Amino acid sequence: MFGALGTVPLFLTGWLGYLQVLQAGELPRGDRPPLPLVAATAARQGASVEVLPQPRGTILDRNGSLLALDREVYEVRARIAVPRDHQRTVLGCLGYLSALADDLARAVAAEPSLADRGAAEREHARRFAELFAREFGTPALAGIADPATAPLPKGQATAADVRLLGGVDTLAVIDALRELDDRRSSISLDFLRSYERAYPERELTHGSVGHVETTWRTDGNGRRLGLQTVGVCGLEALPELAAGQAERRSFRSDGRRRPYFLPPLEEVAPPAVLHSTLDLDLQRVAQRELAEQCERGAREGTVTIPKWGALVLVEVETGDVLAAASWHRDAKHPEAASWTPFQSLYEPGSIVKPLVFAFALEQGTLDWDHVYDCAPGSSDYGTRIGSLGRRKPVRDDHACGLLTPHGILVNSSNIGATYVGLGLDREQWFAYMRFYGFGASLGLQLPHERLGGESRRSFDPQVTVRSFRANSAVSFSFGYEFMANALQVARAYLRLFRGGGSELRLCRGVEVDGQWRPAPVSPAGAKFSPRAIDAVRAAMVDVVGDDPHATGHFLHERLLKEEGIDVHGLIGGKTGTAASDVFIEGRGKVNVRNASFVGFLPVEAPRWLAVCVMQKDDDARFYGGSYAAPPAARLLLQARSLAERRLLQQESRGAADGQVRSAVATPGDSGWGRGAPGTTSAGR
Amino acid sequence: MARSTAIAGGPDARAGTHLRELDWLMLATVALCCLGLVMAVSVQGAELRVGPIQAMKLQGGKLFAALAAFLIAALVPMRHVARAALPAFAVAVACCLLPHAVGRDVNGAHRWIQFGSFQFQPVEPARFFMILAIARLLARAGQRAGTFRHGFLPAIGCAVALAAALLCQPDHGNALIVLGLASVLALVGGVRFVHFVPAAAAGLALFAWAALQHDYVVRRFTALGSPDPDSQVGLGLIALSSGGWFGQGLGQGWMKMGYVPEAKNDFVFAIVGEELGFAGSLFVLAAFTVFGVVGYRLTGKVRDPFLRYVVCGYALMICLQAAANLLVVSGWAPAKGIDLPFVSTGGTSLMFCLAGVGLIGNAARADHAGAFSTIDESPVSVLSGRV
Repeated sequence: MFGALGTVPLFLTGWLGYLQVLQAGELPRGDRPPLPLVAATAARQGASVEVLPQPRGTILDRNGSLLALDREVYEVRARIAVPRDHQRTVLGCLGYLSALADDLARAVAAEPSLADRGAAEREHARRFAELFAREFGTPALAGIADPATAPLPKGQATAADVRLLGGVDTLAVIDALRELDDRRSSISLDFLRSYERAYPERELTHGSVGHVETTWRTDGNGRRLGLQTVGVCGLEALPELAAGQAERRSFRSDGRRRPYFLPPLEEVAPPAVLHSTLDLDLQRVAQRELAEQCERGAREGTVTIPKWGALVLVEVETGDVLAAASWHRDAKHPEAASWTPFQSLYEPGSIVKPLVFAFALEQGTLDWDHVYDCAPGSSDYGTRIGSLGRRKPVRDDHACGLLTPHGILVNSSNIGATYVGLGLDREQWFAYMRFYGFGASLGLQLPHERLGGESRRSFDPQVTVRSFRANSAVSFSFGYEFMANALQVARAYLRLFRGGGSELRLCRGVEVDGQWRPAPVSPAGAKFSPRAIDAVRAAMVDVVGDDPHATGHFLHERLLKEEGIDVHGLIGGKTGTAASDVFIEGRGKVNVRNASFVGFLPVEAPRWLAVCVMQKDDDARFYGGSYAAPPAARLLLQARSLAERRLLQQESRGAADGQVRSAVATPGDSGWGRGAPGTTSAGR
Repeated sequence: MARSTAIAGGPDARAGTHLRELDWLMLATVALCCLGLVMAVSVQGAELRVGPIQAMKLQGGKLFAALAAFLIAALVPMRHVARAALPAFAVAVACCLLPHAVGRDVNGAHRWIQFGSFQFQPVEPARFFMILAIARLLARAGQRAGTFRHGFLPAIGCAVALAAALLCQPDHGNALIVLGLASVLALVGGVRFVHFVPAAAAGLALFAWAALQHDYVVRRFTALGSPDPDSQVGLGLIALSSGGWFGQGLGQGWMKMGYVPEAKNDFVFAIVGEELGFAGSLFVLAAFTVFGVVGYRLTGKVRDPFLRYVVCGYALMICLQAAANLLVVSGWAPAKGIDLPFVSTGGTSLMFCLAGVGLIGNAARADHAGAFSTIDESPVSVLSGRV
């Protein structure tokens, strides 16, 4: 026996020499090439690489308030192996997984801020049980007869790699999970660095800021390569916000994937910072005013409430969108609903009349002092409109008589506007559409934009001039036969006041690697003559007056009554009310009414421009002057008030040398020392 | 004077040879124990919850306890040892049945008895006392050891009783080792081959049938030729192969960091190979070779049957255990939870291995001094009043 034993060391000496010194052994691995038994194989066992994701860019409002940012969190993954002694029977396996789900739920419910820990624990336990049901097929196991003695079926999964949680950032939860990891040898938890998108002012900015989605990145064959987070709508969709290339950090790990010899983290490149043009304070006002107005009728129980509403505030000098509020009646999750100022189209109606008149003035087809007979049964109507052979007669909401263009705008006479519109030929109408940008992209580079524009037949060369004049020219005159969204209407008025080619801006610039890259302010192109602008502006001022025939007199009365403000001469504007048939999913063709209002302030040199639109899908009374005008006017007043307050605050922060911060601070620039001569506090 | 007598070849010369061989035996034992201490610090010291100082204290404590057992075994008079052999074995076999009642379930087996933080496998004392019991029974049989009733039956009966208790746990590997050990001891003691072969064949067949009822045994045998890279043996081979000539350096191995299962116990040789390389592996092989050669030589030289069987039994126990462990780690035997004597950190194993060495020394010295005689201790002689 000793002799036989003596052969063992001799044999092992040879084998170990072959294995260790000659490095000639290998381990077969099924279909894969055999694993060579060399030092590098052992070295690979502990070699680990951690992927360090880069954060997406941050979005700020124009005053530096956070609108969207990436928050550092952990994603928790677990490798679960059912212990062998629990693999003997079905009941043992089910019992183990159930107990594990309870333990995990208890750890996750360690969140100290939870009000009802028990409920949270039950909810997490249910969620983990569902997860295990997917991974281990526990429902099928539970259906096996006599589980206490039945063995696990062949092919039953007894190990799984699962994603337990995302967005973990609470120390108590992390500690509880780590304690569980140490206590239960059958599971191994990995805490992976990750980011979670946070929106501090989500309810105010969900439309404009948008949101991101995490999806699988696949190759051409549909094979999953990894997860990627992409912006799907709003500013989030801008490519500047995309996260940088994920970095990799090599280290060693033990058999439980615990890291050792981690190299220090390299300084993460700061994420891009996108400075939006939005002003959070004004956005808050816009959202509040719009919702207040839309829900007002519902609270009072007297009128129905709109289907959707949009309220936009634009800075005329730069085209910056300061606020863009969105409201939906039926949206269960407003965050997932469309952004109405950008995506909800409507026929603008009379709100475009000032645009038509200014264009006609500029084209020389309109005499501002001419008096039109706007009575429906007048001979002028018969010869100029009735003779066109139009199927639908042109009507006014209230009977008008002799009116100048100023009066037509104040009274919002469709007949008068038709007289003016018929002065433009087809080419001029085409130029009108292109000048104001109806049907053209806003150029905000955001996805899911709805362009609207005129009907395809409107400018079809096959359509005769007579037919065009009888239908399209008349409809265009008071804002029918083409669609636009609230931002497009705002851009059209921006071009009226600032010049052709003016564009809205939703992004003021981006900071990338500390470098400030401003978004260019669109250059003002061809401008209307001051005479045309002044004439139209004066008429719009009188729209919001105390004249009972003025379409904005309701606004005048209401603000005077409720807030004691006489807005005549303070705010200029134009109301619009349109009725049209639109297709609504589930209801078919529905006659809807659009109430809209465009206002500006101050009237002498417009600084802010507000557009409010609401759409009702019933036949209730619904007018631009009474419904759409109040929120827009209040928003304009708040914008002025806020600007005054900020000016005071700014001056109080004046430095000893008299320098003040710029009202429009460039990101990355403190603003000190950039004050123009004469803008020091002393100077003011 | 003693040295010159030894050279002259008289009775004292043989005794002197005993002692010189015991020196070599102790040298090999101490070398392996020192290696065990170093490896414990290297393997356990890398654990976050232990650390090197604590690992040193833990293994040092076990070593002191084992040295105490060694001293007791080396100093206790052999006649007391002989008298206590059978009762101690009976108690040890009973202890092997205890884990089912009080032990904890580890991977479906009940092999451990736990008292507070202290736990041990009762197979260690049972194996230890089985050697004494068989030695006692064979020595008592004397010339009648060649008969089935007085030689084969008591010797193999002891082993079968213990193997049956171990199969209840179940612990097939140790049951096989126990049967093998008892068989060799019985053959050395004069049991006739003709008695042995049919029983061995039947026993092996029965044992194989019982073992193959367990899936994990089948898996281990089927994986013998081509171990999975993720299996215990596969990972052990990866660790061994990374050593080269002189290894990665003491403490520098990474496979002990949770990759090689039981790196401080059953697979400590894989870590020796990884950190100390071929040189370290050769050192271990050489130490056990020296141990085996010395055991063999002593077996041939000790005159008293009981003492001879004790020397042979313990030398065989340690060498068989070492061979089984080294073959498993090298990928030439199915995975089995067997410690590497003196090197693995298991406290019970260390204690009974050193106690075995102590008894080898005690037996050799007793034989040299003539302080023990099987004839004196036999029941027949006691009854007949011969001293």
